[in-house]
Amino acid sequence: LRPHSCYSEAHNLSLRPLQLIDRLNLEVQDLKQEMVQMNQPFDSTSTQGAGYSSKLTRTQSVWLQLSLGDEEATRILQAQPPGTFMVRSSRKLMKKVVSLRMEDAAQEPVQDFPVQETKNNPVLEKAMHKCVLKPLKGTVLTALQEFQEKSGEWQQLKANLVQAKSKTPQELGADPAAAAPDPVTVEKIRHKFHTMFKMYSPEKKVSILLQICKIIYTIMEGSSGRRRCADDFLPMLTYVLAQCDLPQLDLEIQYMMELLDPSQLQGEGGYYLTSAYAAMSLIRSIQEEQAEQVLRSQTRDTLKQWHRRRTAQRSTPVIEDLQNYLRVALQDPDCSCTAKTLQVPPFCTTRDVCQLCASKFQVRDPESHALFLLTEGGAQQLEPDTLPQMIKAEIHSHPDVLPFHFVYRPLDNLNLRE
Amino acid sequence: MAAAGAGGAGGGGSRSHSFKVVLLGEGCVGKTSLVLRYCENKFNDKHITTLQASFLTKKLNIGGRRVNLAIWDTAGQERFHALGPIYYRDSNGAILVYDITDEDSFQKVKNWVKELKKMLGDNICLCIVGNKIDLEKERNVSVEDAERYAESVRAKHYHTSAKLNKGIEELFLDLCKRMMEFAQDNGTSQAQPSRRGVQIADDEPPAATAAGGGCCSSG
Repeated sequence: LRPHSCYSEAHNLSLRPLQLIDRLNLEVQDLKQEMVQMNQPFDSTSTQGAGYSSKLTRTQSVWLQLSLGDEEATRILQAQPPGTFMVRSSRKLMKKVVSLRMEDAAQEPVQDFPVQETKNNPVLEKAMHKCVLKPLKGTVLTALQEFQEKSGEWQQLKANLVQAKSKTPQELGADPAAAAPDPVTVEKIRHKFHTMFKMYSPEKKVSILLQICKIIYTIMEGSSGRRRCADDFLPMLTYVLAQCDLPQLDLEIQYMMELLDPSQLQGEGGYYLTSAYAAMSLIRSIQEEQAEQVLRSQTRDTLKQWHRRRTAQRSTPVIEDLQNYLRVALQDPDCSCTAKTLQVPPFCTTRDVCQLCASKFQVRDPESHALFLLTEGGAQQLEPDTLPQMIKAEIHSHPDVLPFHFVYRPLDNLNLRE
Repeated sequence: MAAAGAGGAGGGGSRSHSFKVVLLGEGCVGKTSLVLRYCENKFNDKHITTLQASFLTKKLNIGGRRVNLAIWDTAGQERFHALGPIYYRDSNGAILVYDITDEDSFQKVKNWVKELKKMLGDNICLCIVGNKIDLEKERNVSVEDAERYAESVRAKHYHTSAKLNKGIEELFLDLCKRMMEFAQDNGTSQAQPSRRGVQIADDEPPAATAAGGGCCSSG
């Protein structure tokens, strides 16, 4: 196997440059700083006009030379002025590097700087939001609303909002000493919510929510300089949401809770989103007995379902969870394991997958190997005409996904430990 | 173990932890002063805040590992009790604060413990904290009772004073260590929430297959 063979796979090619551009934007800025420190102007053409990202995108076919070897890269770059660079896959470092033509006085004319690759890719994520969420947002929110209208929840919430709007901050549990937003500020906040409704990106929506929370804090604090904690904030937020009287905010909160990255759900955005959810729950339960406000059982159920879907600890979908990928491990007779992610379309049979495995793992005796599904219950050999992707989808459709693995191994391997 | 590599794309072996800690307790027990003290080492300071009054973060380094703490304050009034699950779900730790001069606040802590045990089982590290030890003279909850109770529910007990900045560092450091141990014991070295965002699999890293070896190369 040649090291660069994997880059020829079409699905990789289409994604990889974007990831690199994202990282490179930062890397190039670091490099530029380094060059400035050396009193050496960085390649002037790349610092003028358009931003680094767009320059990099446009010139990518020139600088992205993943398969270029060490010697060849050095030879090419040496003939170029200092500051010229290319991105390639270094066999020595086993990672992608920016090979940079250094100044003439430098010890080594060409130096390699490793590119840090991140799993999370903000640029790509943003692009995905634009491609997927933007056209889908309206449909999703309409569907959510129809759902609530059918169940009567929507009408109930509207009625509760009317009732909540007539309450003073104190009646909702706020500290009498804390200042509440006046009608002008409430109007300003309502305007911000309307801006939020137009956005499709969950992150951007949350940032508007944070701005609103900040306004509330600032007013509560007033000139007292006293820091307000959750005891004061939650009732005041409830008051503000009641005053804004926006039933569609409930749908927006659901939208954000479903789509925000789990790591962000633990952060500040997640905290204030949770607070907004809590405030809406209070408004929803306002007609029930005031003494001990019991969360409506419905809210509890919804929350439980949501929790199941969005728990951070749950293994979140990785590439092999996506439709066209299947992660298969090869188990050798000596019980060592090698795992590969294979491209397996939904209607690919176990027979096809076995063939693919035989060639990918370079198995000499494919006839004595088979594909197994390993679960906690043990190993199960898959029949040649079954569809592994369907099996995987079936497993994933269960509320609690138990660990499972597809394993390609010799048939006579009986001493297999689970 | 067989096929262990198959689920390993979540960034295992990470050298950093992210923990969520929820703060529970009655309104006036001083739980907010406690975290403010810890996160900024300021007590009742005249200080214009930004957003950070009920959500606080702290970065630590324990044994060469980075630990990011996200501390979630909750509204302590009885009327908000039912909202608890919304806040404490997914928490790695809970700090339950009572006022040593207020027997009632200790009872509230017991209620929280009962609820947390019921909802989360033993998946959460519990700390019971008797605050306001600067008011030792007015103590209404005996040290023995509190410590015995904590032991009986497998929680740790601490004494603190936000006013005098006593016991707070120890409380959080200890909690972090326990959460780290818990994360390791449960194999979820990624207490770090795994990223859900767009991921690009670096399929078959060039090296592993080149040498024709049978050694373990998991994803």
